[in-house]
Amino acid sequence: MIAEPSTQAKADHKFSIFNALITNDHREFYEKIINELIGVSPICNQGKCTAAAISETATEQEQITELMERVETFAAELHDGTKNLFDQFYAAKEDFCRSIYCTTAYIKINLIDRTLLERTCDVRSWAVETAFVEALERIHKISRQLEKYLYEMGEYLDAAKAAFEVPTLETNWTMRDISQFVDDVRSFGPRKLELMFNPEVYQQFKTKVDLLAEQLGKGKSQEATLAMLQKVMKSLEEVHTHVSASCSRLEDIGNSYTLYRDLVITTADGIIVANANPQRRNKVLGKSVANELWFQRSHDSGDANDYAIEKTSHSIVDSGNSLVFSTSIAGAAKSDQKIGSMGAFFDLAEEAKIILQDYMPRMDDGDTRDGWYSFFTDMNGKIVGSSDPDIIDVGEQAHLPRGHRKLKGGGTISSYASVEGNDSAIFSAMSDGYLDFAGLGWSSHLVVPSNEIFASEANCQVNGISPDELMRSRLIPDINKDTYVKVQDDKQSIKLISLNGIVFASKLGKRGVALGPVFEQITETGDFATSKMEELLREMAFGELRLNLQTLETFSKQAIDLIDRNLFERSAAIRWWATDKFLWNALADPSEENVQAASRRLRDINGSYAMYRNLVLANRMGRIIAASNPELIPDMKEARVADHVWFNKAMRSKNFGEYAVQDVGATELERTTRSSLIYSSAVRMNGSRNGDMVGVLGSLFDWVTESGKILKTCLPKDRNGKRIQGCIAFYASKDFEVIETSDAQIVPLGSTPELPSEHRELAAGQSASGVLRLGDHVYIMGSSRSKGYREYQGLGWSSHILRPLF
Amino acid sequence: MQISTFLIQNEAFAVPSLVVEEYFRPLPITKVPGSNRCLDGLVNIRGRTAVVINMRTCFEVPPRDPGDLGEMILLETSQGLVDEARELGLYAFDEPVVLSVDSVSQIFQLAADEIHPAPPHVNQPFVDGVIQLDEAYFTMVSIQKLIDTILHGKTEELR
Repeated sequence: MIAEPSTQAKADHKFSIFNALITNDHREFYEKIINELIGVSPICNQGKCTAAAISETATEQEQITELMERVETFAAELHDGTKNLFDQFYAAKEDFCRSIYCTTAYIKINLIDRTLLERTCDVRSWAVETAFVEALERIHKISRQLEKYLYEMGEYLDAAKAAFEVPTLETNWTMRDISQFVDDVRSFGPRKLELMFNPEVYQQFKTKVDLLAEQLGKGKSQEATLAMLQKVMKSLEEVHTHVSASCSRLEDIGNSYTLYRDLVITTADGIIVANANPQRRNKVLGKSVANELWFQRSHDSGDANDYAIEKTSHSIVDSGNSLVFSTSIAGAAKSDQKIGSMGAFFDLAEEAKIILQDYMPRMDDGDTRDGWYSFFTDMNGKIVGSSDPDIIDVGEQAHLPRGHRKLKGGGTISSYASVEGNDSAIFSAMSDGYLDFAGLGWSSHLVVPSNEIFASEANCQVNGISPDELMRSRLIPDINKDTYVKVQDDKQSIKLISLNGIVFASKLGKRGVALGPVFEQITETGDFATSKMEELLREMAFGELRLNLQTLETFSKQAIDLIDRNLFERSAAIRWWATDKFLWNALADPSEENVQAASRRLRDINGSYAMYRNLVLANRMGRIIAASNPELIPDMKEARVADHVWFNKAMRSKNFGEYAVQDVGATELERTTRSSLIYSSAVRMNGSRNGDMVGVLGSLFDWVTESGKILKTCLPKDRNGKRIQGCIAFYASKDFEVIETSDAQIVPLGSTPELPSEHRELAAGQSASGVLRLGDHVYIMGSSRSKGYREYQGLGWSSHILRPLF
Repeated sequence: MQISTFLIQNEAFAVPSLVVEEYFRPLPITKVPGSNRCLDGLVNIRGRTAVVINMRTCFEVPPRDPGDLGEMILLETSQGLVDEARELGLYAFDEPVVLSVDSVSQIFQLAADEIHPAPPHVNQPFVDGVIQLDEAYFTMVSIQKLIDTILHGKTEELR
């Protein structure tokens, strides 16, 4: 756990050799320079004495003394300069790290927010599905009847039993046998919920009823009892049909949306009637969630457009760490009548793991480096997700410095504290939601060991750029450039002073010989001090470069992650929509009415998902029969898609719930946009797993707008949050062809820029950074390769973020 | 003899230290129209006016990058020459002259026999000889030839 902060204040920017943050390398460095400079004073004194001894005239002595004084003043200036330089060095590093790691913390919470926003849409659109509404209404009605039937069945059975008290000739059964059968059936009477929702109990009951019915059939005047039993059985059968239909529908959805642990539908009283996870089904169906908070909140919510989010780890449905998105289900006739609820159990633990373990430095074996932690806290400061749950325990209160606990939305803060006994820096960012999702008031925290922040950069080298080129680049802040110029200036000054001294001494002939070594020593000292300072400045520059490269890697990773996650949603949505009743109806029977209904349905869906330009429905022959935006298709009547990749791939798909994709490019289906990304899925008869393929649904993702938006989000910003001029972000296909760019002039669409091999040979999920020369321009670049998201494999794309050096 | 070296386009040249009065950082130059193209113009050093000879132009190498002002060497005037220099027969001009070079380098002590005559293929008007010091070679610049060629008879108009 995290110990209370030891030093809450920021590191003092005034250099002190005693500051714990100063690295050993730099202490040594500093001591050497100071020792040299301290040596200057005695040398100058020696020079002055020598001057007095050898000078023939007062002017001569004055000249030498003046030279010596200049040297002394200069040495003092160098001393101050060195201190200033260290100040700058540590301040710059601290500043930069604050900016990059706070951004990383923010990216993480933002990824969660973006995911959660999609999830709020999911539960609300599923809850209005007619199949569920119908099932709930039927089940509700039958359930009430069943109550009565079962009661009546009891009375009939009692009567039947009484009738058997009188032996008859028609049966060989003894009264005792019959009575046992009757009792067996009757004992199921109070187990209504089990009968309705537990297939096993239902089967047992059915067997018993069949046995009894056989016997009763032999007896006379038992028609009424038989009819009663039949009524009960018929009702139960209908319930089971609805339950299993709803379950398989939920299962289909769950298979497309693997980020849910389970999806459940309950009655208005909180009885679970269907779920998605077949493994948990017999533990869940028929159980009550009436006392679970997520259910209560869904019930309290306004209409079906309202939703609740509740964190839980103790639900009947699932004992994992989930975030339950719930909403009420409204009746078909009266939308204000709540007939049930839907709960979607979002797999928070897995999602948090994916996000938290990402964007962290790794060791060679793939594990996160020690001392680096990343975790989320909820609005009460409780840990809700952790990159290393063995050390930062989920469910515990996070011990964070005060400032980190009172952040405002979108705010960031950093401070030093001891975490697990390690001197660390903590960087935190609070969620500010995403679009119309307000967020949950969570914060994201990143712990970095302080010695890694101030690690020596002395041996840092980056291929493709020389130290001098780097020093002149736009990367280096003006203050450091000025210092660099000043140091070089000082170097020149001290050189000229000593050379003039030597020339002066030489003109004194033999008398000047004694002065020679003095000036030589001054030259050496000056050279040493200024070269050391130059070294330090270069180290600083390379440190800055390294952090910039790291930043670009982070941004490129964000760019590819955002698109992968976005496309995951697209691949999930298309599979779900393809099972829509209106669509297969129109394909099976393309009557005017059915086609119009399908078009309406496509328009409705498209209406709530602005990221699609068009949704098109093609029949088996490859003719478009309906579209959400028919006006965007150049000639819809004549349009044939039989030879289109998206259509062919979907038609060839073997299994239910598969999707296909046509990579970014131009399409005949589009008049007004240069490139589209098309997802597709086969439509099957009855939307069922073994139904015949009747056509293909295609979604034309608005690639240009959406990818452009993401690229803009990922362009580097300066410390004040302003976009840095001249930066470029682009996506490349698996063949490294540019498929979207933020600057079409320098990185044109369709071009294949010459990328260094480390950037081309990235494995999925890996990042690299380096220098890129494009014509006259020199950039530093961060690149990341797509790793997909969950079962969405990604298309092998890469993202590249460029920042100009000049 | 002590020699002072300086660089012009990464090549090392030398003059005797005794003819050097002072090294200094570049000063602003006042251009003089119609003068020899090897003359950059005039500078003011603590109240004294000196002509500036651009050594790059003299040795016909391209000019420095704009912004790189190089360094300057003020030569002794004939009046300021020390006795030792006179004994060695070193030359100095009557008026202050500045050599504009890329950068001032080192100062060496050197025996007279280490200066060799320039090889015959060196077709340079301002060269006195070549110095070999360890592995390095320096070209000895002839101040006299330099001034004779560039300044001789021009002093009147420069003033």
